[in-house]
Amino acid sequence: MSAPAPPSPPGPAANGGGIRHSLQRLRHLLPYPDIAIPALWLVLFFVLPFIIVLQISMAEPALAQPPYTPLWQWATDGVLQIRLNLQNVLLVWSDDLYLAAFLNSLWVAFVCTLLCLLIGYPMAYAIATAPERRRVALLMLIILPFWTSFLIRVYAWIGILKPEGLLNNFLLWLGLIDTPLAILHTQTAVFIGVVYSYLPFMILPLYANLARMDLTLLEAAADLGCRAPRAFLRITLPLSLPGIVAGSMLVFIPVVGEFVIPDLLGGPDSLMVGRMLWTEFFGNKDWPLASAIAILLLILLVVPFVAMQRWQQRLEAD
Amino acid sequence: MAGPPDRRRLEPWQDPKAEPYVRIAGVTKKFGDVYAVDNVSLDIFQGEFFSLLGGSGCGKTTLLRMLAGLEQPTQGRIFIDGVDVTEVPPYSRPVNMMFQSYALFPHMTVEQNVEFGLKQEKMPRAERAERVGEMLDLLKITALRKRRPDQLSGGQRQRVALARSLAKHPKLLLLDEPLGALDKRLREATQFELVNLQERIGITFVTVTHDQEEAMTMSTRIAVMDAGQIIQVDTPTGIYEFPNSRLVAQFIGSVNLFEGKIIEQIGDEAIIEAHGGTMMRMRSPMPHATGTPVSVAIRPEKIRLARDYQEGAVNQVRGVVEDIAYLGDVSIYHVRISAEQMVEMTLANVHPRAEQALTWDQEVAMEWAPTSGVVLTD
Repeated sequence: MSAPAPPSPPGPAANGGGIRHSLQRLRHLLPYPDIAIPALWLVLFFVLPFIIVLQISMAEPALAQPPYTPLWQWATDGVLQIRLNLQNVLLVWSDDLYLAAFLNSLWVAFVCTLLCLLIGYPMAYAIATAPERRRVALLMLIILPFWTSFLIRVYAWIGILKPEGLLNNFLLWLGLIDTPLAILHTQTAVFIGVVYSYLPFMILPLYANLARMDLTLLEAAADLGCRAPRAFLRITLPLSLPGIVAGSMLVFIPVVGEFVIPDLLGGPDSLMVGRMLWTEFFGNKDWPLASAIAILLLILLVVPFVAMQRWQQRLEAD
Repeated sequence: MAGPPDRRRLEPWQDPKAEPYVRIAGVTKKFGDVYAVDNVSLDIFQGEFFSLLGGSGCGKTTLLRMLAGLEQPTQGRIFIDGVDVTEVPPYSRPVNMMFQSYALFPHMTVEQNVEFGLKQEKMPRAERAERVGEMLDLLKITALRKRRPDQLSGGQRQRVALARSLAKHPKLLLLDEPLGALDKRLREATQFELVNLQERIGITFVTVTHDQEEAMTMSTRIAVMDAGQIIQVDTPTGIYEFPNSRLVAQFIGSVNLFEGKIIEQIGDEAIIEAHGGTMMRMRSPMPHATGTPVSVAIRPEKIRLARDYQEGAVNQVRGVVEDIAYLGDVSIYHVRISAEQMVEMTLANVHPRAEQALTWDQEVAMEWAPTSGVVLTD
């Protein structure tokens, strides 16, 4: 492979040599394709868009196409004018509304991750320990809802939760309540919708982890004098930690920026970053402000997770 | 701990007054319609190194798991040190088990693994540390105390598993194929080590193995199992020299089986006519009726070359050498005595440069003593 290509003969016969030549030049450009290709992907689809959004966040809104001012301009006499408008970032920091939205997003994500974990763990455990034949069917039941549109499934919850909906009618019929409960357009409805929608993302990585666990470890624990509940805490739980972390990340990260569920099921009290982004982008047409929110959201999410990953790596290295 | 007991004198099973330490009384275990263990009764005495030997699926592991409490007998009772433990859950039994896969906790260090059982019984910290140190010393793994199981070799893991199961000083240690995961050399070295360890700490060992050599080397007694039942319980010598059935004779070592029938019983000897007309006179303390079909089992090393062969003489056969396997210390000869029957004979290679006594296609005469084999009816 690395042998130098024979000198290409001149004339029209050199066509094949030309292709080889350009291939070699490409190899020169990409000396390590195994790293270069993912890196290129990341640059193209993450770093570049990020820089664009960052740039918009420091512009000013304008009634133009695109709806913001350019960051730099050629003034007369070859002077490059760069206007960095930090007001948006400062506004997001200083305005309580945005802070409240951020905090509420984190809160909703935290509570829902916890609920998904509490509901999903026993489910994943039950599937992992079920007999082989039933396992496939149970997993199918978890994946089946994905075959319907996400939007339709969230819409269906409106029908269930609304004052004259299925849930209230059922509770009225049971005689547990006299007047319909106001669940729709509250934070509670958001919790229900989010937990319902994101539960599979918790169950699947947990299942993958728990199914791999060696059950003789539990027998060994019992043999050494450990009862089942303790064995769960001492053996099963620590060994499933990677599954818990993976599932929690898969739920927490998208829920912080979730837009559809709070928009459809939430009310005035469930202000979330995703909804605000939407409003600023499409309602107020304030792209720079929306971009500033997006950037801050990213920082808010990436920094703690990178820190956590570092911590985990250090823990494993010990 | 007392000094090592003299194993030759330690034969409590010979003493009719001795109390068994472990008593398995009529235990049956069914999985669905399948009898994994079928009405097994067995007495094991204190300080024994007892082996359950059998092929895969013979029920030996199920029996061991019932001793550990990991399986419930369908029927029958199990007593350990005079206490009925049939209903006692595994975490309350004075029994520990070393698992075939070792089942070390992957998220704990060697030290934490060994300490785990002690923590469960709420032993004070200082005492716990001392006991862990003792165990690590005993198995010579102190240097590995901070390692995780995935940083250990197979042999090291085996030691950690052993240390963990011994840490609680159980009344009974159960070992499921304790040497199964080791390579051949390590296995042979560990066999003796395991026996020495057991003699030093004086804990009763019950082990499960499919390897007859392993069972022979280590055990005080062996129970040979087949299809959920115990076929024979005896010392390694007893099992090897006096198998009670064709099955046991064939399972342990090599054996020549001559099919035939009883002609006459004279005192404690039987005259037998084997297929092909060979006449035999074998020791047979159990008298059999004339005409009873029997097999005579003779080990290859009990057969020797006959100097004065006579046609029709008792306990002599003649044949042609067909195969020779030179193993260094001994050679194995396959001698065809008839179209159907081959006799296996091992001869020690006593003289290094002696001319090969036997060679292929040579006609040889062989003989054996009346006490060199057993007469089997099963």
